[in-house]
Amino acid sequence: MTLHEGGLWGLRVSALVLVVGFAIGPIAWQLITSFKTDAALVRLPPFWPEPWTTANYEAVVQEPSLLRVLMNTLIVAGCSTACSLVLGACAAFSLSVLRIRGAQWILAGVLAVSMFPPIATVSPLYLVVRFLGLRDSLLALILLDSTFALPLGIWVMANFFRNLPPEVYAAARVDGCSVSGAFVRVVLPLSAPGLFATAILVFIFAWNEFLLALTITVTTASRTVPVAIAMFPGLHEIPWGEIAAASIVMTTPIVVLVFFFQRRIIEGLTMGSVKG
Amino acid sequence: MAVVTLEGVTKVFGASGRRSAAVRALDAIGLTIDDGEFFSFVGPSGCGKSTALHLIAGLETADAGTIRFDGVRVNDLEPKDRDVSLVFQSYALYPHMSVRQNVGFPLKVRRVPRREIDTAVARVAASVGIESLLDRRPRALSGGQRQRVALARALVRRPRVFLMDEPLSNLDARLRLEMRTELKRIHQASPVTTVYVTHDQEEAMTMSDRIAVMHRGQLQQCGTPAEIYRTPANCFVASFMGSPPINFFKGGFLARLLLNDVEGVVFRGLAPDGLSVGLRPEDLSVRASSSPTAKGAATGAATTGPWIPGTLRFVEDTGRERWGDVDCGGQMIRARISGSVANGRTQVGQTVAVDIVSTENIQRFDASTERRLCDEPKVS
Amino acid sequence: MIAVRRRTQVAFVAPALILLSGVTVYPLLHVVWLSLRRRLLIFDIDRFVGLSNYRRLLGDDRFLSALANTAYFCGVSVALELVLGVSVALVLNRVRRARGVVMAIVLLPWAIPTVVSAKMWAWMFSADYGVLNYLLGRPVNWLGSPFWALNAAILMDVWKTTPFVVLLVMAALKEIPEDLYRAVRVDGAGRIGTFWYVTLPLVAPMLVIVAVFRTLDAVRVFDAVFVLTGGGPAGTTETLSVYAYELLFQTLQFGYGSTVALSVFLIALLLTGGYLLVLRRLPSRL
Ligand SMILES: Nc1ncnc2c1ncn2[C@@H]1O[C@H](COP(=O)(O)OP(=O)(O)OP(=O)(O)O)[C@@H](O)[C@H]1O
Ligand SMILES: [Mg+2]
Repeated sequence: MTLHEGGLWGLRVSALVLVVGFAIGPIAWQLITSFKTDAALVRLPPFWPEPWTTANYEAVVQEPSLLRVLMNTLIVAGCSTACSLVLGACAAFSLSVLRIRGAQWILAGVLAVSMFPPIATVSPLYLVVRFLGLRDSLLALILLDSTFALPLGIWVMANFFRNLPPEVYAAARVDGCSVSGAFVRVVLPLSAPGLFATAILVFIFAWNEFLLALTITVTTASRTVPVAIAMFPGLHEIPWGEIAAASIVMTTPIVVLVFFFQRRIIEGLTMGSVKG
Repeated sequence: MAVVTLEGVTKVFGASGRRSAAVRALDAIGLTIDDGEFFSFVGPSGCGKSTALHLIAGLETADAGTIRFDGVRVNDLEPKDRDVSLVFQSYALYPHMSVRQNVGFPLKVRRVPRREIDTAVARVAASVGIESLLDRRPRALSGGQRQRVALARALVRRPRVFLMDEPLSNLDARLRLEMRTELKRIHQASPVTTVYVTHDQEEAMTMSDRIAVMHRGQLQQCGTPAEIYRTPANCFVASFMGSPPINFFKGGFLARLLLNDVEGVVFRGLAPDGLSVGLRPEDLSVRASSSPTAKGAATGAATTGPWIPGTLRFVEDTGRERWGDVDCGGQMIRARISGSVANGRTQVGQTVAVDIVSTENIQRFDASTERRLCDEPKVS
Repeated sequence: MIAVRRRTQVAFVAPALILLSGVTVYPLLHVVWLSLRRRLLIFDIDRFVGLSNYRRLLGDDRFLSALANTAYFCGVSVALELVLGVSVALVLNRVRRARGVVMAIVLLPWAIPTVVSAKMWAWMFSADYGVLNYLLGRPVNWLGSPFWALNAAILMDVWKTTPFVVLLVMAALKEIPEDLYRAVRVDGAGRIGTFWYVTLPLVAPMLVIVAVFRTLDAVRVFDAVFVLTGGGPAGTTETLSVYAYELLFQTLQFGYGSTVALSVFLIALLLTGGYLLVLRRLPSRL
């Protein structure tokens, strides 16, 4: 068995290397590209940048719109997260702890809504936003993103609440809390890990959202990261080096989130998909 | 069918783990299970019984030692190549298969023709009484029903070795007796080597040709049920086998006993120091006594043997028998409350005498090593 | 359970539901209404045309090609993702050391904005300077040839969304009791038998769920194709969502564009129904 197992072990390690390589390869290449000079971009080999240059980063950072775009995305993602977390937690509380009648149907409906293709709703939304004069404003984006993230939030949190011991809510009520008192003082603190997982997922969703942002934003005043990258200004040729540098800068927050909260993200994703 | 030999078999869990202390689940176990023998492992929870079965089945690899089937080393063989069947302690039924598919599965994997599978499943289902459950899924069964399905899945084949990990633990008392008889019948009809794990010592005693008693991963004693019961190798075996458990006397109490009348008859020639004496409850009998200190004065039935005075503290009535806990000057002694005294006359708090009915089964152990003293002088 | 007045219960769900229906249900109804009209804002045309937009769909070659592209994209990418997802999950399941880091790395493609990954891949796919052709050692016109362009989009989508499949499959694997693997080995199965008789059937219900999620995502695919190929070359990679976007926001045909957008919704609805039927037939989990 030992020899046999040794062969299998080798196979497993090479499979693992392959998987990790496939996952990180494109990102690594983007990183390498971001350090190449324009001249080096159109030469391959060499594989590695020679010479190394930070010119791309300097160009990107000097661009005044970069900070604007990052701030926009941060505001949109942050506010959307807060918004859908509050609304989602309340709804999930009513659906799972208070056991509102027809909870099954509401949850099914919420799931169905999350399956809507955004393209099917984006044009009326565009018309409404234009009508309200909210075009090119962050407020519109926050409103839409937080709503589109709601189904995810409701599902994850409803499942999380359902896994709490049912006595805690009852005990809080017996001890004299009102419904909302029990919610705020007992249920929410107990579900902090679930709320956190949901928050990260919604944040990533809002950070990455493209179609709505593309239709609603016009100028850099409200442009978010995905739109900025998609519309990266190029006069004659596509400035791959600068795009690479900009992508690296603008996705660093997400990468950091993933590395720090990998376990929470996984927990949230599985909880949103597996019915409790 | 096969002779199963374990030679110095050792299994350590968590050896390569970080800080967690390694568990020696099996410590240099050596024993031989004969061809066609019904062999039982008994021992307290966590002593390594399941681990032993898993090693024989090939589900775990031994860290040291050799496992042989018919003299051939099988350490490196996959479970499927060892040709064993195993009843799992957790049943391990396939949740996505019906009972019929579960039971027929070992045959299906071995590419037995469909028709043979059907007859084999029908036969074994009848034998464990699950005919009416064949089209259900495990999820829709009670614990005892699941256990019988697990048993059927093992019995459906005729392997070289049957391995059964507490296969009757979840059945009601009557069903358990029936299944015991059924297993014995199957075994007698075609004696396949069977290694059986149970925590029910009565089951082990009645079913097995030989028993291995385990404790903390170590083999304590291996022998026929009678050997294990009559000549336990150490205090652990003596106390583990037998219900209610054996009484031990040592130290000051034993010394006082030796000073008494009891002395000359029973413990002649033994120094109380370093000695531990075991007396089984069934060899002791509680009898009502009028005076607590009467020395050798038998009041009730004419018993002339040695006896110990005490106070009855607790009575346990199993329906068939009554057992009493007697406080004999600080030492609690468990003894049978025998027929004539049993009819309501013994009461808790009453002064009683404990008779030593039989002196044949007195066990002597070295108090420090807890080993059996072999070169004991023959008792009168 | 302590009785709570219905009004309180409703008060807790109402805000979320109102917002949801405002932003999804209302627009959907609006789209249905739009799809029954001929509406060209630039020419100031806006009139009711009944089902004629739907009739137009059937004769619209560009729509049919977008439909075919979407179906191809959907089928191939979801199949690949499921197969890869299960394989990768089996590999990662054995990882003990540095598990957190490995999982984080595997998650990265999923977390990075689709637009960013599309740009990344577009650069790698570049026919002249792309690292893929360099590694392959031969020039493939990835984004320029009709055959490769759609497959390139699929490759990118597989890279980006397999992590999601992996996670869910790993969650399902965790639920399989160790003793089942042992039982199947004692019963005589080898590694392949173990996979076939235990692992796969027990992961199957989860695979159906994942397939539902992934298919519905793939049917409405937009950013991946829009940024990577823009629908080109010559419309050969145009999916339904991209086509609808073009109609709505570039040629401003709100009526017909809505019809195309609605077709995406109807297809998604049909697929969900189909999957639910399959799911009901599968033996439920332990
Ligand atoms: N996979 C494992 N990893 C670590 N320790 C283990 C593992 N399996 C068993 N052990 C340890 O090995 C020892 C023996 O376990 P085993 O399951 O053989 O006991 P057992 O005699 O079958 O007990 P029981 O009667 O409760 O079934 C125990 O201390 C247990 O904690
Ligand atoms: Mg056990």
